[in-house]
Amino acid sequence: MEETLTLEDVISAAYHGSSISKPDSILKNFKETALSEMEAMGLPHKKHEEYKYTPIRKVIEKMLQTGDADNEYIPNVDVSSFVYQVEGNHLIFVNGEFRPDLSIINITDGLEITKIDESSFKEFGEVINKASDQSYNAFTAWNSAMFQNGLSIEVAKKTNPAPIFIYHFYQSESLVLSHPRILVSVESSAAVDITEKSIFTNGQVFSNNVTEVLLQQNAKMSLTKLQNHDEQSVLHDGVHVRQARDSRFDINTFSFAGKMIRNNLNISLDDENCETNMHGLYLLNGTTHVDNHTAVDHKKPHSLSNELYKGIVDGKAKAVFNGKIFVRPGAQQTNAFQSNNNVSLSEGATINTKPQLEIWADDVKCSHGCTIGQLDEEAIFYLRARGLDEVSAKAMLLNAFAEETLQNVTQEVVNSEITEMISNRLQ
Amino acid sequence: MLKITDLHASIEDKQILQGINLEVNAGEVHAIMGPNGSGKSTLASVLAGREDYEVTNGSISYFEKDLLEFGPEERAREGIFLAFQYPVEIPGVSTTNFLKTALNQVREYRGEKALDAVSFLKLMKEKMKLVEIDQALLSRSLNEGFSGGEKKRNEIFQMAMLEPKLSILDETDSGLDIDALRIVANGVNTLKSKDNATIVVTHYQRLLDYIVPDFVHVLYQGQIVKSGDKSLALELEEKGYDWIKEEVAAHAL
Ligand SMILES: Nc1ncnc2c1ncn2[C@@H]1O[C@H](COP(=O)(O)OP(=O)(O)O)[C@@H](O)[C@H]1O
Ligand SMILES: [Mg+2]
Repeated sequence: MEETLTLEDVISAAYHGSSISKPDSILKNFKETALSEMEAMGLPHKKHEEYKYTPIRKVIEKMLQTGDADNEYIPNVDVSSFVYQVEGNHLIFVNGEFRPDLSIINITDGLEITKIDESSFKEFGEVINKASDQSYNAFTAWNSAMFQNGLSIEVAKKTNPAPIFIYHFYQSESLVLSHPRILVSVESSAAVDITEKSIFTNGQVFSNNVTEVLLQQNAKMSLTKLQNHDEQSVLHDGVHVRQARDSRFDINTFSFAGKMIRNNLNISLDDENCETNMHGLYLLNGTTHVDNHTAVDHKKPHSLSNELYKGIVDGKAKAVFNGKIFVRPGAQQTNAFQSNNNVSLSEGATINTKPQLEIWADDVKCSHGCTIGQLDEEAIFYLRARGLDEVSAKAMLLNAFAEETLQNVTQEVVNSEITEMISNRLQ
Repeated sequence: MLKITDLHASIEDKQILQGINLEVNAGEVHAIMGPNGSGKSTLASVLAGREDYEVTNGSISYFEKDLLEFGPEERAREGIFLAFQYPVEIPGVSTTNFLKTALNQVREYRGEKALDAVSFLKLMKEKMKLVEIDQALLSRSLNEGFSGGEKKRNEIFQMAMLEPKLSILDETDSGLDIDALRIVANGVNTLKSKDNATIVVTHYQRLLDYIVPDFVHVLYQGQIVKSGDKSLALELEEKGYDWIKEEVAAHAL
């Protein structure tokens, strides 16, 4: 009888066959626990409510059928070809592993940047999984089992260190399975600005990213993600945030290309007077599939969450948006605003958008709105009647539509890079 | 300059224009009047190239060229300007913002050099004075929260910037108080020359006190049923449109 292996079997075999399973230490305990949790939960099938529009399991299965990851391959990384030419700390991941040796870390006032590995793991035993415990799923567990050389960023209290740029570099002659793990801990009254992007050269990539963020009292963090991926690459990106009193978290997610991108953003507002701003833009064509699942959990009174995602979907691309807002009993005077606006540019494009509000307090201000529309023909005619050609007229309207999502992108180089990417795409 | 011959146009299978004939020469001002729904805006839209309308018969020649062959942007570049009856709101796009691109595309088409930021600003300042419009307004999202008068002054400002050969003003006077009306009319008159022409679509004779027409046409049920000089406008003001309607009805018998 032919035995059919499940995806979980394959992952488990990969774990046991790799060097990760060798060391006998607390890291190993952590990893074996995670592996069995992953097996018990199982990676979500299409029937799973949260993944019904995004068959990522199937896509991963297909990728694994085409070949094995080549762990022997040594990538050739030319850092200078892709880092932003600005002051700051430039942290390099190669195929999912943090590489301090390739990174540019020289303005470290207020910062502690550490590689999470066998020898340093005991320092992080208390904080790892802390931000993600509520949203823990099989992908997080899989990452926990497989990550090697994670990154920890600690920001000392009352400091405002130089900006951080994280680059995920991928290169292989075959398949890359990558599990980058990032922990960010911002102490009280400190502020940090992080930008994250990926660079693809060769190979087929599946990356299962997990970022955990802990913001202490009055801490601030801004995170901008630039997802302009290779058309063969698949990304599952989990960001898990816990905010303490008076803290502020801004995230800006820009998705331009890739085979499939699933963003899971989970934010827990653990105490009063927090502020969270979630902005996103997806500008898709071809057969790119982008799914943004966001959840913000108001647990205590007087917090504000502001969510604005916009989409422009062309070709046969698919966009999914699901925005959950929870307002727990007692979280009075919560302000929670959400909107998701989409422009569909072709008949073949698919857009699924769903707000999901669960409000258990009575003294709250919440609003949500989802729209799917086309470009305004009247406006196009107006601009053409002034002499603008049709392409410029449409690009102008789309640029105006997208612009709002850029307002919290603080790093000028990043802001102009995104602006340019939008303009180029809309030409 | 413009010769419209037996023009028929429809929208959604509804015949609106039913045989328009009109000739406009350089230096002339034509007023088109007529009751609501008679097809005035339709005519203006067809001239500007709105694609929702289907021209089912007839022709439009403009400087000896077949205008119907051109898209809206080519018509604009060839010198046709439509001041919209209902200018659209465009969130996130300011007048300054689109007009710079538009003007430079028009200039390129005409074989002129693109204006740099400084020259553009200088030109803007000069034309702003003409219609007494504020720069702040031009930096705001187009027409969003503009008053009726601001919208119309902005239309005339754009006209001044683009220096058209044939301007079509569709009810530019509606919703204007007397001061705004004077400002708009003054703008139009300043831009008038022996080389360009203006078609003024209006309901009321009021505007024609300021922009004095050489010809007045009455459009009714998709046809020009009467033409005359400026005294026709006065007659319409006095007697209304009923006598015209009756004349048309009698004719049809
Ligand atoms: N988009 C449209 N669909 C159907 N009918 C239209 C449309 N636009 C205009 N019409 C009709 O065409 C006729 C002429 O309208 P219009 O040209 O705006 O008249 P006017 O400007 O003289 O008041 C009216 O009966 C109007 O209802
Ligand atoms: Mg009209």
